[in-house]
Amino acid sequence: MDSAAIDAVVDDQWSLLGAAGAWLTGEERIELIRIARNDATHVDVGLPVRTAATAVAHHSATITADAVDDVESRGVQREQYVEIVGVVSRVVAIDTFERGLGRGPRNIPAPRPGEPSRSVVAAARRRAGWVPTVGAIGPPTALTAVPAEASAQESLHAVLYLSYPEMADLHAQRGLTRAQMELVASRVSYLNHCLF
Amino acid sequence: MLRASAHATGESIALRAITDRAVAPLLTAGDELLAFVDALLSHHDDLGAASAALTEVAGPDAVVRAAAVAGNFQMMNRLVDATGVPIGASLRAIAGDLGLG
Repeated sequence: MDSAAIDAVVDDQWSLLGAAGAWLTGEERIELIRIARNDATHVDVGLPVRTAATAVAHHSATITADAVDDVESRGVQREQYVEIVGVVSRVVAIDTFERGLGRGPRNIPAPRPGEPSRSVVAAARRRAGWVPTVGAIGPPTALTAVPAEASAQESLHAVLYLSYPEMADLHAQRGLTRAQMELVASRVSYLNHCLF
Repeated sequence: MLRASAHATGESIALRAITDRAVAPLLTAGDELLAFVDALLSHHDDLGAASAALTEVAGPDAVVRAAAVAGNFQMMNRLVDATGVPIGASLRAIAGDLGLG
């Protein structure tokens, strides 16, 4: 898969960041891009949302269960927090990819009109993790309380790295051998102080 | 996954290289990949030079894939840390081997 194929998926995902999600408006989601980039504030998303987004973008390894409880106690529903995690983590992924290719950051997408659906997934429950999930919590299910976020994350994961089914293939090659890809992944995790 | 994939393909890998840049990773283009990741995430080092060095030993597709995989794990690290995904026993054991955790 070449960069043009990756770009096609990233183009779609980037554009959708400007559309209303399940819990945030398009303008609020765009503000999360600015927070992830440490850019100047344009929209007042409220301190709890800003606090959560800043933590996810800039010091996620320090987030604790108490911190997530605190954000919730200040009015950020768990599902809304899940959307914040999804949007911010994708922005960081895409910005990293662009920088790796020697390109500048993408322009902020245009906000689209519309209100959040606020739809709740009845099957999502708190289990071992800090957010509700459909089934046991793990990397593939962590965002399943907000299906659009889980879907976007899975699509981006598949194009940047491997799809979840492809991960079982230890001989997979995409420009790098599987072991070379894992070396990159491991070093990124180490630098992020993440045990994953 | 690193240890398993290297074992499956018969490649050599020194896991300590992940946490100690003085250790040679042994993997083909391993040094260049690690230097590229360090430059990419630090925002300070010379990313252009690291990219050129990786291209020299592994070709331009390697740079595209290294940037993509790095981006993916920037996402996944944040996702698991922010949602409280439990770390399994096997990962804890590996982290212990590497002096982490």
